[in-house]
Amino acid sequence: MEIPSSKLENNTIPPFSTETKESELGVIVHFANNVYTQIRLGVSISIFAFLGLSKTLNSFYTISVLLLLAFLYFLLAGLFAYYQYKNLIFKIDYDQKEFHIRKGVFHKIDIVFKIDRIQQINIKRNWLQRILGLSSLEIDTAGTNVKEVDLRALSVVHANKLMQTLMHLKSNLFVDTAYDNEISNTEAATEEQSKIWKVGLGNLFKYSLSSNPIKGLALVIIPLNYLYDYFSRSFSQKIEEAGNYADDLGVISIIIFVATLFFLGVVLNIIRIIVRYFGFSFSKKGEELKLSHGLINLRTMSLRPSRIQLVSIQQNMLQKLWSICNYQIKQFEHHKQKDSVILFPALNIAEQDQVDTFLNLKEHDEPLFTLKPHIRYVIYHVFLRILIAIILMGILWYYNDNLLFLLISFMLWIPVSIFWVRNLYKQYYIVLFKDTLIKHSGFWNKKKDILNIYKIQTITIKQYFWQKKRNIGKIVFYTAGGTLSFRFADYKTLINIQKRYLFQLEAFPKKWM
Amino acid sequence: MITEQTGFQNIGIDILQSQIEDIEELKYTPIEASYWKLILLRYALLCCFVAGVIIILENISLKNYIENRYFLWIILFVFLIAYLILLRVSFLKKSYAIRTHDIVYKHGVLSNSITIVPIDRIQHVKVTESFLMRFFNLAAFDMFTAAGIQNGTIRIPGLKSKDAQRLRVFLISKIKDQNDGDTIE
Repeated sequence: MEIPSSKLENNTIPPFSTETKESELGVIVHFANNVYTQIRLGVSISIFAFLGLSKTLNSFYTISVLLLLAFLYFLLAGLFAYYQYKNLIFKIDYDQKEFHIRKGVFHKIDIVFKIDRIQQINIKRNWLQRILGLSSLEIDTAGTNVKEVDLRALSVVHANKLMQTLMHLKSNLFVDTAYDNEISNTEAATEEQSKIWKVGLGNLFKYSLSSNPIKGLALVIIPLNYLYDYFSRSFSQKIEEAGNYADDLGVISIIIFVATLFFLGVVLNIIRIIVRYFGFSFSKKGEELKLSHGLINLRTMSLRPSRIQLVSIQQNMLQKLWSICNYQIKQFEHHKQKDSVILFPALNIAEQDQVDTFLNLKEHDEPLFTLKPHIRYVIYHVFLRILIAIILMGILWYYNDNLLFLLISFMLWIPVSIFWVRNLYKQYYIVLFKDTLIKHSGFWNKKKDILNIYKIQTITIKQYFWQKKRNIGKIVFYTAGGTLSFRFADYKTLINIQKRYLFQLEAFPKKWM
Repeated sequence: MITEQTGFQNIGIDILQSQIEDIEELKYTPIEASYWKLILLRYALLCCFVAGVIIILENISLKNYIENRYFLWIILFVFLIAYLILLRVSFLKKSYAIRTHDIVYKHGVLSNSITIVPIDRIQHVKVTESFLMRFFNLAAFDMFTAAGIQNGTIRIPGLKSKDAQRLRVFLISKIKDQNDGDTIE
């Protein structure tokens, strides 16, 4: 299995420029991997099938058939693994600076990518590969979360050589790799040590009081389910016993139940937020912003302006009273384990100012244009709220036949929802700047999403067939950190927005990272 | 009423802007007609599979539970017909256009969606020829952007195998050109 690598080393031609295969022992790795993933996928199905079959067949017959099937399966899997090995070919095209890989048994896949698009190369070895003296090499490109290239069975020499070759080719092409950035940043960090900004316990407390209690409840959904089961059982027993009191008890108990839930949610939220964000501090180091927080697990993160894709600033009415505000920053991460959303909770005005300058949010030109949604927005949202109310009424009515109470609350609900939606409608708009787009939304919880248009990856404009007559539609901007969409807007205007920003993106290209 | 307020054409770089063709007036290429045959074949396979599963289930366990088994078949039939109609609509709506700086892809079932991918943002491309596709000499063309696996992958199915390869070569060379020079830091 070492022959191809030694051959390559002796020759003067650059390595991997001809079509190369994995090591022959790779068949075993492919086989094991296939069997392992298929077993993981199919365990439940096969048990089900086995149970179904075992009733109809006698046991000896069943076992022999199953053994035969298992034998056949392993034979097929082995054959499949062999062809996987046989069909996998990769090479480096030195003229075009491309990496070619061709693989697949039934499903032939041809992948070609520019070597300078490579984000990361991982070399891994599991126990089987260690025994066989093999190593797997994964290549991450920025395009996908899935590892497009996963060479599972290279000999160790081969794998290292391939990695070195690729790294060499890449460093020749591009200086803008993550590694270089890190070096320059550490250099810069030693020069200046700027002020550390902190978020106090009081602010965190305010933040947790004012944030959505449902998030706190989500922590304990499973125990709560159990609790609810217990309660509803005892309630129904009591209702049966109480007979005539049932109606009153129903209404009051619902109110008590909701109030308890709310209180519980608030308390849990305080615990959750203080455990998570205790001692939140950030400081600017060179190009980066370093954050750290956490009571039990200390988390540290670094924000790089080039990686930030979307910023959203949130403030609800209570928080407005205390003049605190939350920043949510979405940045691009190719490692799934890391958080791509970073929250700055409860910032005072001074800290907001710091973050704003760091994120470059202050330098806005004159707004070009403000786009408000069509009046359909109101109709749709009022209708939605009333529909939900009717469904809820129906469910409640089933348990509690106090029709008058339900009707009164329904009548009260209509003006409330109209008022609510009217305010939502007022707050829902986008403002266009030369190279930024700001979306405002929310009534209780005001939200400002800020998108730098150079971070746009793709744009989609969508119009449902029932929107054609009113000529309204939806626009979605996709970035590497999340999406931003605006609905119920005039279709023609959306087309124009798309045209303008696309023009800017394509005529004066800038990097998104 | 909102269109009147906008006056979008007045902004800034009007002369340059008019060089961009309007996406509504573009000439779109529909996907290959033979792709419909592939859809039908897949659909037929699906029908066989579903029918097979139901027949097996009926014989093993459902026999005792469902008295009126025709009811199940009727529901299934209606669903499959509706699905076929949706497939047809979706097929008819798929079309694409290639411009100098971007790829425009039209699709949707209940909606008309237009997705625009600037070539500069494409990370890599992939041509897939599955077992069934090869019968009809078709290929699916995937473009990957950095917007994640779900949102960032734009797939144009039902291209001629040759066309897909040609498009791949074209895009790869384009991506290369853009990397070579004209990006402004």
